Amino acid sequence: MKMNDQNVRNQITRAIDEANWDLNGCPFLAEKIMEENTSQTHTLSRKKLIPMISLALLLIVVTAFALMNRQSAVGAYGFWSYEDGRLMFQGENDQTSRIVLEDDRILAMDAETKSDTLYYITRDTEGMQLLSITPGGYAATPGRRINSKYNIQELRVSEMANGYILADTSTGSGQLYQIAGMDESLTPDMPLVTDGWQNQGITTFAIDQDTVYAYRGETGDLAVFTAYDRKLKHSPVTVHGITCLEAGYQENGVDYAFALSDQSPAQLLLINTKTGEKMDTGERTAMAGCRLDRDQHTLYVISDSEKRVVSFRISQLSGKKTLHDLTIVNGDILEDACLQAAIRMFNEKYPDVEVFLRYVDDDRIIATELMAGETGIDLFMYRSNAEYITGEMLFRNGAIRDLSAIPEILAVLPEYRNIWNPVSAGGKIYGLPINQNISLWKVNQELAERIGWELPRGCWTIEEFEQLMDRVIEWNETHEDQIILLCGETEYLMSQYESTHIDIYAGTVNLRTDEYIHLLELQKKMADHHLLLSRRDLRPDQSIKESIIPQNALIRSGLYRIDEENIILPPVPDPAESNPWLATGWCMYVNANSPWPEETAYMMTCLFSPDVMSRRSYRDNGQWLKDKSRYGEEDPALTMMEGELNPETEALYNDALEHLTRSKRINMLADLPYADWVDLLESMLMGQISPEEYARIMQGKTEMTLGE
Amino acid sequence: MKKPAFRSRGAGLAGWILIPGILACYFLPLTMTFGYATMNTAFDRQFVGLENFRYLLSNRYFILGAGNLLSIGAESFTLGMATMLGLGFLLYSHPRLMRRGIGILLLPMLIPSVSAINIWKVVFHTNTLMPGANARLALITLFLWQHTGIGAILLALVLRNLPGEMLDAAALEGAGRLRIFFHIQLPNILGVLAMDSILLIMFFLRIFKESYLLFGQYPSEDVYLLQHYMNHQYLKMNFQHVAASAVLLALFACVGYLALYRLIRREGILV
Amino acid sequence: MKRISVVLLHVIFFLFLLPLLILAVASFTEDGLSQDQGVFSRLTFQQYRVFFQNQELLLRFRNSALLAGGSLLAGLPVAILGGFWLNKSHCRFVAFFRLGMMVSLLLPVQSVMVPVFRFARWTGLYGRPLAVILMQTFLPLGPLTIFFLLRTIPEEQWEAGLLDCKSYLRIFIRAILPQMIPGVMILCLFLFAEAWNLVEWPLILLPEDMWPASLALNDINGQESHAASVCYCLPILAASGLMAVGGRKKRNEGSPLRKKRVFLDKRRKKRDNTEQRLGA
Repeated sequence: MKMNDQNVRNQITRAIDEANWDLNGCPFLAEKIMEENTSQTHTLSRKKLIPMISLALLLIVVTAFALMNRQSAVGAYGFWSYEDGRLMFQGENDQTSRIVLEDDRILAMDAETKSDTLYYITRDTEGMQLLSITPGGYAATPGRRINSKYNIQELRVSEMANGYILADTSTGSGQLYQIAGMDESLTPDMPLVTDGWQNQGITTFAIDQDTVYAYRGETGDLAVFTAYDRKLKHSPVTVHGITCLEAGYQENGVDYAFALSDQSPAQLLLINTKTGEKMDTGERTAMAGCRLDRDQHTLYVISDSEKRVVSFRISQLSGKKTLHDLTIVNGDILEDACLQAAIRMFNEKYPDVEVFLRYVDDDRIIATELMAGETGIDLFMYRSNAEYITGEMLFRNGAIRDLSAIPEILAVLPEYRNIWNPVSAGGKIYGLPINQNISLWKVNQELAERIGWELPRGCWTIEEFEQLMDRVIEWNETHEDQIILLCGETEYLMSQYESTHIDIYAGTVNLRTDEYIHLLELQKKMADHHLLLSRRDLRPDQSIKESIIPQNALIRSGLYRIDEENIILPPVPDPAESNPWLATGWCMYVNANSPWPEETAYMMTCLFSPDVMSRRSYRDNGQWLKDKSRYGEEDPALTMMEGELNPETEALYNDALEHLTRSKRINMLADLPYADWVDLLESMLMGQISPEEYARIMQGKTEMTLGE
Repeated sequence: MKKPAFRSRGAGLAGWILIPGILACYFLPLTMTFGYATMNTAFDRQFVGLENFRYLLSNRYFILGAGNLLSIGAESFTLGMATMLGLGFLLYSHPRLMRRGIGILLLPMLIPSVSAINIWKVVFHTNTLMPGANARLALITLFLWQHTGIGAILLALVLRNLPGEMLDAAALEGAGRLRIFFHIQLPNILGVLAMDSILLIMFFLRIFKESYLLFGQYPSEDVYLLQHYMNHQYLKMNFQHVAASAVLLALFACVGYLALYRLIRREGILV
Repeated sequence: MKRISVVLLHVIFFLFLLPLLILAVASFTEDGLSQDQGVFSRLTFQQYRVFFQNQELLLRFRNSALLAGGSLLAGLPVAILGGFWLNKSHCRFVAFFRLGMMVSLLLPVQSVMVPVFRFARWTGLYGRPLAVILMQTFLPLGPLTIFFLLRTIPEEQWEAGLLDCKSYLRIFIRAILPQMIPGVMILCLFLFAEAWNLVEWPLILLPEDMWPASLALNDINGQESHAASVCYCLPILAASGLMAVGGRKKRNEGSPLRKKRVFLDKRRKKRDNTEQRLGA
C-alpha cells in the first residue's frame, strides 16, 4: 500500500484525528505525521553542477579583477581610489566612496599628504597631461602637458607644484624626474642627477615636503635628497631586502623612512637613511605585493588590489613617546603652509606632543565640549558664520583665553601692523584673525569719467557720497542711458553704521538715532531712483566673479584683492572715526579650559610668529607684517595666473588694515533667516514700513541677541 | 502588621532594573546641572550661590520667555485638553471609525517636524519677524495637530474598557448623557486625563524645535519662549544660566504637580 | 446627531492627514513646496532619484534603524517592568522617584547635555551607539505610561489573581498585561518614534559617521528634501501599519483555546461529510 494514495491518506488522517480528539491532543498531529512519511527525495545532479559553475565564475571574476587598472592614494582626510575607469573619494567620516570623475585613461596618481587634492596623469589624443582634482570635483591647478618621452611608472606629489615621477625613458629605465604641477614652460622637468648618484634603475621612491627618498633595488642603494634642489643630503647607504618605501619623519637631523621587507610575512621596517640601519617595528603583513602610503599621522599598508589593509599611527611606530595630543578644531580653514610651519615650530619645543586637526561642523558640539571641560578641543575656529556666538561673548564668559596676556605673543606684536581691532575686546586680544576680508568698492572708470566724477583717494564722507548720488540722479533724468550707482553689497552703509554702533562686549546697541534713520532714508532714496542693483538681482554671469561690474553700474561693493584696479574705500560718516572700515573673516581661539595651557599658549605663539605669518596669501590678506620683505618672492606661476599686484590698491588695502571693525550685520548677529531679512528691507524700500519702524525692529532684534 | 514591600523576588528585580538606569542617565546629570546653577561659569566653576537666579529673575528676556511659556502653554494646554476630550469621545462613540482613526491620529506625532513645517510655513507665511496673534496661532495649531492625537486615542481606549453595565444601569435609573459623563465616566478616566495632561505639558516644553523651524533663532517677542532663552544661553556657553533656568522650571513643575496631586487625592483618585 | 458626529470625525481625520498628503504630493514634483509659488509644478520622480543616489543619506537611515531598533528592544521591557514596579512597590521613596522622573521629562534637553556628555566620556561610552540607546532605554516616559495605564486596571483583578498565585509579577504578566496590549503597542510606536527622531543625543555623543537621518534631514535644503521627508516617515508608517494589522488579526482570531476548538470543529464537519458521501 503506497502512502501517497489519497484515500489511504484520508483514512489514516481520520483515525489519528479520532484518537487525537479523544485524547484532547495537538490539533495538527495528523498533518505532522503525514508530512514526515511522504517527504520527497531530491536529485543530486544539480548539486554537483552548482559548485562547478560557481568556481568557473569565480575564476573569471578574479582574472578580470586582476587585469583591471586599479590605483589608490591617501589624502589628508580621505582616500582616493581608481577602479574601472572611475575615480572615487572616501572622506574619513564617510562610510562609502563617491564617484568624483570618470576617466578610463588615468596612468598614475597621488594625493597631497596635507590636503585631499589629487594629482593624476591621464592620456589623451595629444599625449599625456598632469591634472589635479579636489574631492569636490574642481581642478586645483590649470594642468599641464607631460612629455611623451616618459613611460610613467609612478607619480608622487608632496604639495602643489612639487612632484616626482618615476619613469622609463629612451635614456634608461627607473629614472626620477622632478616636475612642476603648474606649467612646464616655467619650471622644466629636472632629472634627479647629482654627484654621487646615478639616476638609473630606481625601483621605488618616496617624497615628503622637503625630502626625496630613492632606492635602487638591484644594488640596494638608498639615497636621500632635498626636494627643491635635488641635492644629496648625505652619502647614499646600502640597504638590502626592501620592496617599497615611504617617507617617515625627521629626528635630530636624521631622516627616517618606512619600508616593507621582501620576506613573507613582510616586516614593516624603519630605516635610518644616514647609517642604513634597519629597525623592525614589530608589525607584519602576510599579504604579498603590498605597498605603503601615508597621510600626516598615519601609515597605511595598501594591498595589490589597492585596498587599505592595515594602518599604524606613525608616532607609535617611531617609538616616539607621545605624552598627549593637542587638537586644533577646524584648523583646515587656516592656510596649510602656515599651519604646517607652526606645527613644526611647535614640535621643536614639544616633540612629545602630537598636533591633531579635527573637523567639527556643528556649533553645539563645540559648545558642549568646551563647557564640559573635556580634552579634544584646545584651539578652535567656528565653521559657521553664526554671528550670535561671537568672540566677544566667549571672551566675556571666560571660554577663551586672553592672548595679550601671553608674553611671547606680546613680544612679536611690534612686528605687525595694528590689525587687532576686529579681534579685540576691552583692550585685550582674544583671537588670531585668519583672514581679513575688507569690504571695498570697485569703480567703473569709464562711467566715472562720463559723469565727471573724480575717484576719491583715501577717506571720503557720506555727504560726498550723497553729492555723487545727486549727480547720478541728475544724469539719469537727462540721459537715456541709465546709470546704477551701487551694486553688489548695496546695504553697505547700513552695515557700516550697525557695526560701529553695536558693542557686543558691553552688550549695547543704539540704532534709533537720526544718523541711522538718515542712512535708511538715503537707502530708500537710492531705491526709489533705481540706483541699486543688489546681489540677488545680478545675472549669474555678473554675480560669479566679484570683479565684474555690470556695464551700467558705477560702483560695485564687495570683497576685492590687491590685484584689482580702480578700487576705492567706502565712504565714512565721520573722518575722525578711528576704525570705520568693515572686515569679515574667521578667527582662531584658545580654549581657556584646555588641560595644557602652556602648550596651547605656545602653539598660538607659533601661529602668531612672523615666520608663520609670512607664509599667508599676501594677495588675499594684505601685508600684516610691517616688513614686506619677510613675505618673500611671489611664485611666478601665481603672478601669471592672477595678474600683477596693483600698487595703488595694495597701499590702500594695507592702510585700511589698520582701521578695521569687524562686520556685525544685524541680520547675521540676530541670525535672521536671509529671506526674512530681505523681505523686511524690501518692505522698507518699497515704503510699506517707515525707516523708523525698520530701525525699531532691528534695534529690538539686536537687543534680544545681546541682552539675554 | 506591616505589608511587605514586594510579594516576590520578581517584583523587586523590576525595580532594580529601572532604578540604576534612571539614576545614571537622568538623575545624576540633573544633579550635576543643579550644581552648575550655583557656579560662576562652566569654565571657572566658582561657587556664587544664588547669583545666577538673581540674574535670571532680573533679566527681561528670561521673564519674557517664562511669561510666554505660561501664557501660550496655558492656551495650548486648555485647547489641547478640550480637543483630546472631544476627539476621544467622538472616537469612543464610533468604534469602527476608531480603528481606522488610530493610525491617522498618531501620524502627526510620529513624523518628523522638519517634514511638516514646510506646510505650516506656506499656509501661515511664518517668518522670524512675524508678530502677534498669527504667530501664536501657527504655533498652537501645529502643537494641537501634532500632539492631541495620542491623548485622544488613550482616552477612547480607556472609555471602551469601562464596563458597559455601569452605563446601562445609570441610563435605566434615568441619568442623562451629561450626568453619566460627569458622575461615571469622568471619575474613571481621571487617571488617563492626568497622564494626558503630563504628556501635553511635556510635549509643549519640547516645542522649541518646531518654533525654531517656523520662526528662526530669534522670533518676535510674542512667541519668544523660555526654551529659546535656554537654547541661546547654551550656544553662548552660559551653561550656568541654562542650569539655573532648569532649576526654576523644575521647581515650578514640582509645585504644579504637588498641587495637582493634592487636588486629585482630595477627589479620591490616586495619582 | 450620530450622522453629524460621523461626518465631523471624517473631517477631523482628513485635516490630520492633509499636511501629510500635501507633503507626499510635493515629493513628486520638481520644485516642491515654495512659499513664493505655493503651487505644484509637473509631477516627476526626480526628488526620489536624487534621494536614492545620496549614499551618505542612505547610510544615515541605517544608523537611525540601528538606534531606534536597539532603543525599542531594550526600552520596552524596561518600560513594562519599570511601570509595574512604580505601581506595585510600597517603598517610601517611590513617589519621590516618580516625581523625579516627571521632572526629568519636562526639562529641555539642553539642561543636561553637558553633564551627560561628561558622564559618557567618563564611562567610556562616548562615540558608541550604546550611549544613545541607554539614554532612550531609560527614558522615563515608558515606565510612567505603563504606570498610568496600570492605574486604570481595577484592584479586584489583582486580588482575584492573588487567589491563584502569590507573585504580583506573574499576575501582571499572565493576566494584566494582555489587557494592556493596545496601550503597550502605542507605547512601542511612541518609543520607536522618539528614538527615530532623536537629534541632540546623537549630535553630542556620536561621531559624524554614526549620525542618524534625523540630523541629516535638517541639513537637506535641496531638491530631494520632500522625498527624504516622506522616506523618513515610512518606517514609522510601516510600524503603525503593522500594529494595526496585528491588532485586527488578533481580534479576528481570538484566544488560542478558541482557535483550537474552531479547527477541530471544522475537521469533524469535514469527516462527517466524507462519511456521508462514502455511505451514499
